Amino acid sequence: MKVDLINLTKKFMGITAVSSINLDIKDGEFVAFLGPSGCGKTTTLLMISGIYKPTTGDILFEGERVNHFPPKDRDIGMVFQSYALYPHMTVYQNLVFSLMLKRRPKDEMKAEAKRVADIMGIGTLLNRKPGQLSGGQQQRVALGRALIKQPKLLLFDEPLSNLDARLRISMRGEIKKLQNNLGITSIYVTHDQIEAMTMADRIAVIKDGILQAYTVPEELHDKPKTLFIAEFIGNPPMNLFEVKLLSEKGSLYADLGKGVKIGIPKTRTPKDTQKGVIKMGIRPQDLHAGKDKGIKTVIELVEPMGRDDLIVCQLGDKDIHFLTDPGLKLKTGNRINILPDMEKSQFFEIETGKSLLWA
Amino acid sequence: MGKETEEIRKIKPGRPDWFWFLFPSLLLIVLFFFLPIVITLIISGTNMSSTTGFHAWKWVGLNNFRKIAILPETADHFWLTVKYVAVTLAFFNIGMALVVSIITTHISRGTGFFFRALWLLPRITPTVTYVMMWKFLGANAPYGVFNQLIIQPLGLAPQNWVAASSFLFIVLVNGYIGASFGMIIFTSAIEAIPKDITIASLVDGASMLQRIRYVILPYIKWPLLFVTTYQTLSLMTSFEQIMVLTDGQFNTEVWSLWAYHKALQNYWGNFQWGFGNALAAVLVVVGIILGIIYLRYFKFNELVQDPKIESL
Ligand SMILES: Nc1ncnc2c1ncn2[C@@H]1O[C@H](COP(=O)(O)OP(=O)(O)O)[C@@H](O)[C@H]1O
Ligand SMILES: [Mg+2]
Repeated sequence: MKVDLINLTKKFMGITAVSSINLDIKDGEFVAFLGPSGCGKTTTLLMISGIYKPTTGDILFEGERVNHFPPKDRDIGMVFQSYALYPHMTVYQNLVFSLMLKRRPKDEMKAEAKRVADIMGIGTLLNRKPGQLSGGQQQRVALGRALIKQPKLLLFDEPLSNLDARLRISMRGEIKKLQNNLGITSIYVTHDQIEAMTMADRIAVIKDGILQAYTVPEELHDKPKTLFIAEFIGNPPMNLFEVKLLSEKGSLYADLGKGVKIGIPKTRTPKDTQKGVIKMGIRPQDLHAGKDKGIKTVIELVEPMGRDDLIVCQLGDKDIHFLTDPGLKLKTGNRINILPDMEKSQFFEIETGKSLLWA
Repeated sequence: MGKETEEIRKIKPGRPDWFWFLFPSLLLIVLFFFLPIVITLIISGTNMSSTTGFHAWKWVGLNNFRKIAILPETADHFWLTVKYVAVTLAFFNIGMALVVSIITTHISRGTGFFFRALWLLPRITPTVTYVMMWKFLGANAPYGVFNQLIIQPLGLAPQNWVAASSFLFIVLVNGYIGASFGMIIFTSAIEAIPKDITIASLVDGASMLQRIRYVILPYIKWPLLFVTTYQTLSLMTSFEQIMVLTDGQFNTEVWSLWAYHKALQNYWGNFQWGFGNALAAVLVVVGIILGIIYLRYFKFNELVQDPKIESL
């Protein structure tokens, strides 16, 4: 189902929680709302589900304005971080609750329960109470309860945040696959950028109720429009530090202090080169340990992360993190040379946080 | 649990530590709950009255209870009490309390708070003042508010409504106060229902009535049981409002008021302490039996089952 949010705004007693959000969701698309806690993701979701009425702005389903439709008339299914299963009902009763409220025949309820129980692999749990299930099982039941209504729109509010790390990764894939197979338009709220990056077709980054960017994951990662996006997306996080722009003989350099200067390639020339001091960003995977070329420095700390080692060292007077192959067997105190891949560097205006490359 | 704790217990000499932990409340319970019951039961086995005084009384065994069983008015007092407790409980202490708490938790917080505060007024008004207001409301012309404002303007015959609808009045007077107790408890229980559960039920398509039936009532099952039990017992045993309103006239002599009249206040000045205590003892026994039935019926022990943490 195609969904449009137009100038969507929600105020609670004069305090703006969601500020004039505009975005469109295509039929069958999987969209993530990504942002730190308290940025207005849940509020936006609850307006889409019909629990909250927008203060101003419109919500369109298939082009039709649904602002005043109650939740039950919106063809939606919802999954919560807290699972929100009815604790006094069995799994079966939880699954068929929406059908029971509509007084559907017993046979239909049984058949439908079997259908979603098969999809979710919870057929053996039907007679249990939610209190007797693990978190992962409860979330499967909650998903089943959302699916049984054959919704046109699925709303997820941080559904995996209460699960342990392993389960989170496997459920992540499972939800993505399920959404792909069923083709149900989905909105997935999360504060976890890895979840958003791995699952979503498009990501809406929200900060303080304001939409920062709405685009595909690769673009958020490679062409962050604001400092906030650059800091928020990517793991380990991007190195960010203030540098002075120097222009010598027609070439541009970033001065990192202590006499360390790095050349900026033509393709990455910041828009306003007169700025003087700006923020430079470079991702940990875009710095490499060179043999003899590069900037000389000493390793201050090595954090083995399994596939990579995370190295901390000084570049000029800045602390910098980068990833290396554990096969290099680098140790604290080793002298190394660092080669930054400046073709991947980012530059931002300090006052506004706007990108000097993409904004 | 198990071995380790037992070993620790063995090491400590003297009284088990739980004894001192419970001692203050045990003392209170024994002094103010258990002893009075024992004294009631003892006196109910005597013919003690203001004629015999505290010295000339005799043991009469179960005679007082035999007398209760054969007195013709016993059945009247009994059925009146049953009717009074059941009606007040169903329509006010539970029914009205539920309605008020559901409504006031589904309107704006401030408004809800205001209406609940309104319901609390009679509870903080002195009983006599509160009951006198009801008396004036229903009093005969030319005083009664009801007569002056509604009956006479309509051209109908004024009368003493407290006397004419005595049962209704004792139910209203007690119910209006009693409802606020359940209201406070139900309100906090309803407000404790997780927000996500409410949202889930709305998304599932539940109407207000369906939400009450399938979500709210199951969620407040235990508070419901508690209020039912507690209010049954307190309606059975408290009589001060009725005493001030009618003093048992117009067929409002409920069992507890009967006991009070027999033991401590009657026209002939002979206070039949023995007989009155036998009446009270009947209340105690019925109360205990009812309590046990409630606990069994609502499976109260589920409420106090072992903590779940260890079985997770
Ligand atoms: N019912 C409410 N009443 C008042 N303020 C609210 C309410 N719901 C959310 N807010 C405020 O709106 C902001 C956004 O909240 P929310 O949408 O829950 O954030 P998120 O889901 O992104 O963590 C927060 O500052 C929160 O305090
Ligand atoms: Mg939230």
